Amino acid sequence: MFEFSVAYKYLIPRRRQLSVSIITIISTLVISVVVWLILVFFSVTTGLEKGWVEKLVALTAPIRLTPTEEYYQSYYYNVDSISDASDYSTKTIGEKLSAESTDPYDPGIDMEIPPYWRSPDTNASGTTKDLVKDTFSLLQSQGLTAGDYDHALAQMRLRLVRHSNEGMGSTTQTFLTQGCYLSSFDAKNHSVATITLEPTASDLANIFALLATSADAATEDMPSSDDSVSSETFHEKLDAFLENTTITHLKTPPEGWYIPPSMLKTPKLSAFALVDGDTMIKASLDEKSIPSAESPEDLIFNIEIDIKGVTLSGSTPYGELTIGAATTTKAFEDAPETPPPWIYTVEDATVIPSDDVFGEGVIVGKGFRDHGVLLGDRGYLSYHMVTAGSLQEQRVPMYVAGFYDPGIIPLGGKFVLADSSVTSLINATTRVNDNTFGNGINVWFDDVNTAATVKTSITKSLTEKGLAKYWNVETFREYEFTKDILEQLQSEKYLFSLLAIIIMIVACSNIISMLVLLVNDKKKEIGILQSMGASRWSVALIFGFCGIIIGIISSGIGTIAAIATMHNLPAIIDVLSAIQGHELLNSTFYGDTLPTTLSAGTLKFVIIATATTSLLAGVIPAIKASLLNPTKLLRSE
Amino acid sequence: MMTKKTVLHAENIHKTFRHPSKVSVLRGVDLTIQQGESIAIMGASGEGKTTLLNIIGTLEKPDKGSLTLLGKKASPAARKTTIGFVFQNYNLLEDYTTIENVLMPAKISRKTTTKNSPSYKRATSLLEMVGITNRANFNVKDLSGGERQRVAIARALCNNPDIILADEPSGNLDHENSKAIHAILLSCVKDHNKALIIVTHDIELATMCDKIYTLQDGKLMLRDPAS
Repeated sequence: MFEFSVAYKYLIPRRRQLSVSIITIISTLVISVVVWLILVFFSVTTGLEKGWVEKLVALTAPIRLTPTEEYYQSYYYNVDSISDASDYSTKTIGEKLSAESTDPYDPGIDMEIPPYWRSPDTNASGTTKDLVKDTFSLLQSQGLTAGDYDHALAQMRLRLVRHSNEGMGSTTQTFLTQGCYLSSFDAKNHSVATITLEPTASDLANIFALLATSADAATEDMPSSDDSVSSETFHEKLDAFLENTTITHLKTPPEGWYIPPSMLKTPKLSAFALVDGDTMIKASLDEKSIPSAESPEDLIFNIEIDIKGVTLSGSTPYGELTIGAATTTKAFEDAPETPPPWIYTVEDATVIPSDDVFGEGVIVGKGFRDHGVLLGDRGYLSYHMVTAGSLQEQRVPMYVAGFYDPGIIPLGGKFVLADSSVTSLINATTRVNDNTFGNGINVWFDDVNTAATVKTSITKSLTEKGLAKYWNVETFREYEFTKDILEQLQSEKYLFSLLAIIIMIVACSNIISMLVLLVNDKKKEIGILQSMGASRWSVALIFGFCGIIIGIISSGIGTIAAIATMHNLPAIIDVLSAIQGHELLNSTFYGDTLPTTLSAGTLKFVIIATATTSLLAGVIPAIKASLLNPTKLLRSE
Repeated sequence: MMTKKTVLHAENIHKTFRHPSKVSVLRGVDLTIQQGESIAIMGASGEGKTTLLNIIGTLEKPDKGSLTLLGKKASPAARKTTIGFVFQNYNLLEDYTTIENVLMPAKISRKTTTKNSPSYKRATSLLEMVGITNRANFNVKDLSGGERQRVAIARALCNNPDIILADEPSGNLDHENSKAIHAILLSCVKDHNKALIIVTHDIELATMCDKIYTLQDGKLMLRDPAS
C-alpha cells in the first residue's frame, strides 16, 4: 500500500528534518513510557485481584445459594418442627439432603398443621417438592459440584505451650482467644489446598514437642503445662508423626549449643565446643532409640557438624535441639492408615484431620501464624447453648492443622475452617434466627471468570423447575463480605483507566505537533504526489498512518519493557523496598508472590487505546494535509 | 488514412484570481489536441501559461468552461492514467531513488511494482529510453539537473498517459541538456503517439512542435509558423 510505504519513509529520522525527527523520537518514547506504566500497573493489580479472588473462592465457592424467606416460610422447611420423625426440629440443608423422607409428617401421630402455614409446593404428580434434593440434582445435572455449608459463630481459645530458657524441659504457656466465624470444610472444595501454607520447621518442631503433652485438660481454662500422655499414646502419636515426616536437620537453640563431649575426639577442639545459635545440623533419627523414649527429648539423633573445616559426627538426644528441616507427606493416593496431623489430600479430596486425643483439626488464617501460633497448638472452640433455664457454655477440643492465606478479604482472617460435623453441631445449638447467612449451598466449577454466566444458567434452571423463589443465587462478587472490597477494587481500576486514557491522550497529543511539522515539511511532496494522481484521501491516509505507526511502535516498545519489568518484578520490588526502607508491597495484603505475567485484557486495551488515540491525533494534521492546494504547493517551490 | 482521436478538448476556459487583487488570467481559452500532436504555448510571464496547464492537468478548476479528456469530462482521477506532468524544477521525491521515483505513479495507481512486475519492467525500459539506466538506484539528490529532468520524464510516462504536460521542461537546463530533453519529449509524441503540450519560452523548442500558441490577454492564439 503506497500510503503506508510513504508514511513509513516519512518517519525515518533524517538530519534534513531534524526537528521532526526529534519530536518523533520524543513522542515515541513518551507513549512507550505511558504504555509501559499502564501495562505494569494493570497487570499487577489484575494479577493481585485474581490472586485475592482465587483465595476468596478457595475459602468459599464461586457461587453460593442461600435460602430465601420463602424457603423458611415453606411447608417443606417447617414440617420437620411438628414431625415426630424429625424429632420436632427443623433441619439444616445438609440434614435435608440426607433425610430419607421429603415429607415426614404423619397425620396419625403429629399435631395438626397450623392453618396459617403455606400449602406444600407440589410436583405435577402431587407429591411435595424436595427443595434441597431437587436443587442439588439440578446443579449436578449442569456438571457443577455442590455441597452444603454451615457457618457458625464461636470463640476459639488456643493454648500456646513453648519451651522456656529456664531449664531443660521446662515450658511456658500463653493463651490466645479470638471470636471467629466457623465455616464447614468440604472435601469437594479442591481449591482450599491451593491457599494452605506449607508446614514450617517450627510447626513440625511444635507438633513434635507436643506429642507427649496431654490434651486431657485442653478445654480447661488454666491447664497444667506439664501433663503428659501415656507412654502408649505417645508412641502411637510418634509413629504417626514419623510415618509422615523425615527429619533431615536439627537446629541449635538461639542461645547456642554445646557439642556433647563424646563427639570431641580431639582435645584441641574443646575451644570450639559451643555451636552458635540457630545452626543447622545434619541429622537422622536413630530408630533404636524409639522404643525406650518417653518423650521427644529422649529420642537419639545421629548428627554431623562441620566446625572449622572438621566434620564431627556422633549422636545426641533431641534435648534442647529443635527440628531444623524435614520432609513431610501431604498427598496420598489412598486414605492413610496413620494420617498426618496437618491438612492433606487423598486423590482430589482435601482432608482436615481429626485426632481422637488432640481434638478436631481446624485451619486458621495466616494472621494467627504471624501472632506466634504454630501448627499443632491446641485449644477449644467455645459456644453457648440456650436451654430452658440457662445459657450453657460448651467446648469442643481442637488443634491447629493448617494455615491459609486469606488475601485481603476483610473476614478472611477470622474464618476458621472446621469439619462440617463441628459447624453443624454449633450451628444447630446456637441457631436463634434461621434466616441468617449460616446455611446454604456452595457451588464449585473450574473457571471462576464464568461465574456470572453460570449464575444465569442456574437461575434459569431454578425458574424452570419452580425453585427460584426459594434461593438467592450469588456470585463471589456479591457476597456481603466481598462485595465492598471488590467494588472498591473495580472503582479504582475504572479511576486509573480514566487517568490512563487522559495520560495517553496527552502523550499522543505530541503526535499532533509532530505531524503538523511533518505536513509543513512535506508540502512539496504532497503537491508532487497529488500531481501524479494521489487523491486527498490518500494524502490524509499517509499522515493518519504516520500517527498509527508511531502508536504501534510505541506500544511495542512499551509492551516489551512491561514484559521485562513483570518478569523481574520481585527483584525490582526488592530494590525499591531497600531504597524506601520498608516493604513496598506488604505481603499481608499482597501475598508472598507477585504476579509476573502480563494481563491479556490490559494488553488488548492498551493496544486498542494507543492505536485509536494515535489515529485520532493524526486526523487533524491529515485533514490539513489533504486540503492543501497542489498548485499552490508546486508554485511555492 | 487513420483518424487520430482527440485527447483533450478545452472550451471557453475562464480563470480569475481574486487575491491579492482581481486578475483575469484566462478569458475564454479554447484548445484541442490530438494523439501524436505536439503543441507549444508561449507568452510573457504572468500571462497564465502555467495556470492553463494546471487546469488542463486537473490540478486547478476553471471558473468557467468545459474540459474533456479522451471524450470524458476531466476529473482529478485522470492524473493517474491519462496525464503525465513534467515540471521546470523536476519535482522529484527527494528521499527516493531514481527507480522508486519512476515507479511512484504506478504505486499510486495500486499497481504491483515488485521486480519482474510489468510496471517495473516498464520503468526500467523508460530509464533506458531517457538514457539513465546506470542511475537507477541512485538517490535523486545525487543526480545532475539534466538527469533529474530525464527521471521526471520517465516518471511522467510510467502509467503510459495519453498526454504529457510539460511546464518549461528545459528552463533550468543548459543548452545541451535542453536539446536532449526536447528530443526525448518529441520522440514520445512521434514514437509513442502521445499528445504533448509544452509551456516554454524557448523558441527553438517551440518551433519543433506541430503548433505554437501564444497566450495573450487571457486568449490563446495560434501563431503563424512563419513569424
